[in-house]
Amino acid sequence: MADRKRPTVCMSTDGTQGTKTGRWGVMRPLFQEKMAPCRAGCPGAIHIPDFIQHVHEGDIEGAWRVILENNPFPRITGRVCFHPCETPCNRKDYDEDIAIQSLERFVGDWAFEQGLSPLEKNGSNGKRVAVVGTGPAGIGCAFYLLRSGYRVSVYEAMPELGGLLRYGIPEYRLPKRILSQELETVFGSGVEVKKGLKVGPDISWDELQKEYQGIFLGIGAQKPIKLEFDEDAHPGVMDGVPFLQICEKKIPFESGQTVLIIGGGNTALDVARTVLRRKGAPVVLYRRTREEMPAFEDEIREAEAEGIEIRYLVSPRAIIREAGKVKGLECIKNRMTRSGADDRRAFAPLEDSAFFLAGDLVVAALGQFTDMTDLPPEVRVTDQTVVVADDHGCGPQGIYAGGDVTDMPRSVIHALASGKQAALALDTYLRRGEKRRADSKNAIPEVTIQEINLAYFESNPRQQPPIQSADMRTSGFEEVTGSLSADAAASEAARCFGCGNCNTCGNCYFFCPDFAVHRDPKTRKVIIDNDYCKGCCICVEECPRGVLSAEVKK
Amino acid sequence: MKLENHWESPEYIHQGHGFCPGCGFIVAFRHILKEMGADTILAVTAGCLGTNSGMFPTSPINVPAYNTPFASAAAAGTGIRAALTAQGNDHTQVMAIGGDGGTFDIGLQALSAAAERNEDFIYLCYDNEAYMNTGVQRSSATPLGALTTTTPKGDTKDRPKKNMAAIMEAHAIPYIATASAAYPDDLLAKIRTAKNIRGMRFLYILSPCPPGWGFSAELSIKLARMAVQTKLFPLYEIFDGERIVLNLEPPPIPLKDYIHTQERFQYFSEEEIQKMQAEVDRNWKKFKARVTS
Amino acid sequence: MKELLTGNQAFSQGVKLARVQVISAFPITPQTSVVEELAKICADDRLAAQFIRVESEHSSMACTAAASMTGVRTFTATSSHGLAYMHEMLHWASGSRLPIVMVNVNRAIGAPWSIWFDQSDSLSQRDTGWLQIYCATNQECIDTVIQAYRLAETILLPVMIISDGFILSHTVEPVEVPAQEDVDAFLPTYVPKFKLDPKDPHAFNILAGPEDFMGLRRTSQEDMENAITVLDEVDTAFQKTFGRGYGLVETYCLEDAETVMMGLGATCETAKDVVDDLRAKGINVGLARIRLFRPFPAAEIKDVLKDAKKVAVVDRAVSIGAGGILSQEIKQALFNVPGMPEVFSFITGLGGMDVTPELLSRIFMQTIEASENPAKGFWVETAS
Repeated sequence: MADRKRPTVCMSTDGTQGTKTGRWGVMRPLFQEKMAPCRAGCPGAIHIPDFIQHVHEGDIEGAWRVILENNPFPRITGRVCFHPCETPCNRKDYDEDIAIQSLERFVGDWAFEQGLSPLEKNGSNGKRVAVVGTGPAGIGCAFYLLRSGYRVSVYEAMPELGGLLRYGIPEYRLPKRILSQELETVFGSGVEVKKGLKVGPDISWDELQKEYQGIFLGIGAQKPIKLEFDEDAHPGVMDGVPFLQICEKKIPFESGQTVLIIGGGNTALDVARTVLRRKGAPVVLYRRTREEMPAFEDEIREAEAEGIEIRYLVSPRAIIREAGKVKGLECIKNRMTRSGADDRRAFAPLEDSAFFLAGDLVVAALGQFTDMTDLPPEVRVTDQTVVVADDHGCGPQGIYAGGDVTDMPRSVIHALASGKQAALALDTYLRRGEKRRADSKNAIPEVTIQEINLAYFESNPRQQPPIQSADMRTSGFEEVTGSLSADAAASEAARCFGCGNCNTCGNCYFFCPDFAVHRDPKTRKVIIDNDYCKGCCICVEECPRGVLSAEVKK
Repeated sequence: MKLENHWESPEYIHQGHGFCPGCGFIVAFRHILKEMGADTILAVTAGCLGTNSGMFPTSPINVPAYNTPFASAAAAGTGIRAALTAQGNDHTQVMAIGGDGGTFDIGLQALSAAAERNEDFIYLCYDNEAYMNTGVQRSSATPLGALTTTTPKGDTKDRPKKNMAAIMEAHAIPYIATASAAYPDDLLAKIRTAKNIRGMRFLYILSPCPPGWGFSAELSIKLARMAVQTKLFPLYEIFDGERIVLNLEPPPIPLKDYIHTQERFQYFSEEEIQKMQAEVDRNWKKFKARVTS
Repeated sequence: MKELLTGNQAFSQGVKLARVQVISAFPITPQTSVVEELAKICADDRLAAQFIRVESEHSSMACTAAASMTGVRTFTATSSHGLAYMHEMLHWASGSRLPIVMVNVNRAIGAPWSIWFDQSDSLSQRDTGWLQIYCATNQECIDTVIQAYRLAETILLPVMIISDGFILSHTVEPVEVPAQEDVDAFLPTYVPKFKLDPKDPHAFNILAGPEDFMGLRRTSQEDMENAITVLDEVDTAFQKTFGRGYGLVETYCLEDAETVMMGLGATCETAKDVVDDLRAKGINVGLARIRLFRPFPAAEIKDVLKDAKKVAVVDRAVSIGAGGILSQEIKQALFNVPGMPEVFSFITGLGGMDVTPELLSRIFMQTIEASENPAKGFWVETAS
């Protein structure tokens, strides 16, 4: 019995780790974080699911830092952005879309209240860049350059910084106080600011090119488009953006006047709503229907809620004056002539539809264009815009452009995003002398509602921020839309599916029958152990947010 | 589900085991053992777990485990506990495990006796609703209308599922709980509760079986969830055979959603499904009337 | 200390002296008083054992085996149908290499019902891998329990101790009950070589592939064979300590016996009187009682029978279609061995049929005068 090699009893002496069951099966789960539709829809590519996840975890500072990667000014966009992120939100197919903008605003306001500074004191890398124009494109570019250690000087033709943020958006949408606070955080100290100085006339581009290693053109589209039939500046006819100054009483305005506002964009509505608050009687005239109105949907709804009269399918023909004073407009009615696939926006005047509309002032809010006269030499241009390559370079070495001066959609977030991209391109050029290649648009797949496992989400209503009642609104210039409370923000963040963004909820780990789902100790992201995974794909099915997908083993 | 440190907590089953891809049992069992901890002895009987308890000289189980013949899981659990008591050990947990075959049918006698004596161990029944390990033959746990290899087309199961929980309830043991891998927090809480009770504890887990029920493996947890949502397998606890606690009442879903996901019910007609829905509704009402909290 | 004890009481006392830790049994006639006696012993705290009142014999062996696997000394008892009910578990306990000791009080198995003695229950379990020791007196009963634990715990195989139902189990005889201290010295605490232990986890009785299975069975066979040596040592040591020994095969008047009777159990005690009677008449007969039936002590039997011409086997169990079970085993041991006696099988005493001295005498005479020897044995249904 002694030296026998055979065992006495049937007893295990080892585990089964030697059996690599990963050889079984034909399918394999693939861990791949995907694009959320909100993020795909954001011109700034803000990592929305990630920032919302941080809010959900109570880490507001973390949320803020995620936003700052792509947007230095959440307090601004949280108030004025047209939130293209919310439209494609997958939660809309379940109950209601997530109030992403409100959450962004909450995070921005919180960080400000905590006194957090978005810029660490970067060591200067010795290189100097001039940012010309301090609208959203300019301040966006300046922020990312400062973050990368450049010495930035900003040039602003207007008396104050902010561009359209200050001069084109009224108080009740973006309080000047908040704008100033935001600008202060970036330009408060250590940044050379030259206000009331226009490059071209006041200081030459040549001098700038000598003094700075790089230049960013963010001068915007400052000149208003004029009425065809009233080119000369007669009294009683104003341009939209400048007319907004009645808000701060920089332009006098008598109450009771009827103001006829021509145009369908945000400016037209902003003018109308400002006139209302100054106790005037605004009437908006737009040549097409509500559907084609370029103004943001929020703005239109708010204007409607305030009882603002909007006349659709009306075009002015002539200004009627009496003794030099405006009496009104001669107008005609239009009809949409949508013919097949060609031009949905096609319209034509209705014959014999002329009518008179009485008014004391006429405001043309037809849009703005760039003054092409004072541009740096050798910049590529069309007759209306500066032409940029995909790296935002516009011709001469070291000169980049973004925002409304280029041909791109016109919104704050678009401009901010272009500022960031230009800053990155400038940095690549200055550090390596290379042209920056655009981020590969290589399809990261986008998550649809089909990839969301709704079993993990209770249906509950969207948290709405407090909104001033219509009659309250029009008595003053306080913000119409308020902030979410901390509780409401937490509740709303909890509603976010987090499409394609792994938050280590642990479902895949918990439900794996082969214990083949682990967590990378450093990145905390999911790793599939292919030695043992049998390819059942329970993890794919139970991933609430479409991070795991099934693929056929190669 | 709060799982912050759970990911890296010790495992008591090794990878490389032979359970089918998508097996609903092993998902639950792994976490049950994690919660039970190292100071546990298992009595394992014939069935999916018995067959997968190892091929000499390896085993996937990393706590002491004793295989015992089919009818004797509860008797073995009794014996292990008796020995531990004789050794002066009152801290080691004992868990006897049987499938529906080893619990409802061939093992019922020994289980009833152990329950009547209020033996001090946890009896875990994993119910995949047929003798799955030997190839999907019908058991008394097979639901009405289901196809099995011994209830083929034309002769599908014509009797309702045996109510095992009610049988255990009649034994007035300290603790009975139904649980589901699809409801992790509930499952883990029940293991913790069971660990802290002395005497006979009966844990009853519905375990979806992809090959036996006829569904694609990735749907295992979904089916476990649907069983709870349809009220076919409600989650509750019974203390001392009297106090009934309903743990969860998720928003209901119609029975047919569950039925149509599984090939074993393919010959169940629409009227039969409606009848079964009415039966489920009636049983649910009766059950709710008995719930104390 | 000498006491008047029934066979069942003797067993119970033996279990108490052996300091068994877990007892799990189900009552069945004629074993019942073993269980009842032990219940009283435990209730009185004369023995600190866990006593589990299971609901069936299958469960009693399952419970006992699991307890043994956890590393404690265990005991159970049964008879007849109870033994048959736990048949599956007998194989299991042996294959698990557990040192369980079980008493089987012989009783016939139905159908039809019989509560009386024959040896068909234990002998029909001879293939289950258990050792089998047949007792002839109540003294031997109590002594064998103590020997059996030392034997089982050395070779790691279970031991079945068998006695005649009613004849021993319910009959009072004077029994020398050993002192506890002496038994403690003879039989140390059980220290298992493997067990269920959270500090050293293993899975037991998992699947064994074909070659491993062959190996494990061969190992059991070798260890079972070794029991012959070990029991001999244990019995010798017991003799030294307690003054009583039994050997593997008990012989009586074999020196010049031409005809030797062989059997199991208390029938052989009766046979001793018959041998005396016939010898008084000048007929040279003798007796060899097989005490250890499994492992079958072939070498010892060949040795004992080397001078005999004929063997008369008292078969109190029959394998229908084959013949007397004991005689088959004996024939097999003697087969192909030159100079071995002719073996005659006498099937008798089934279902409690009384095997009287007259009947045994008749068997002797029939053997001596035999003109024929049917392969499947003579059936002896009456004494004359």
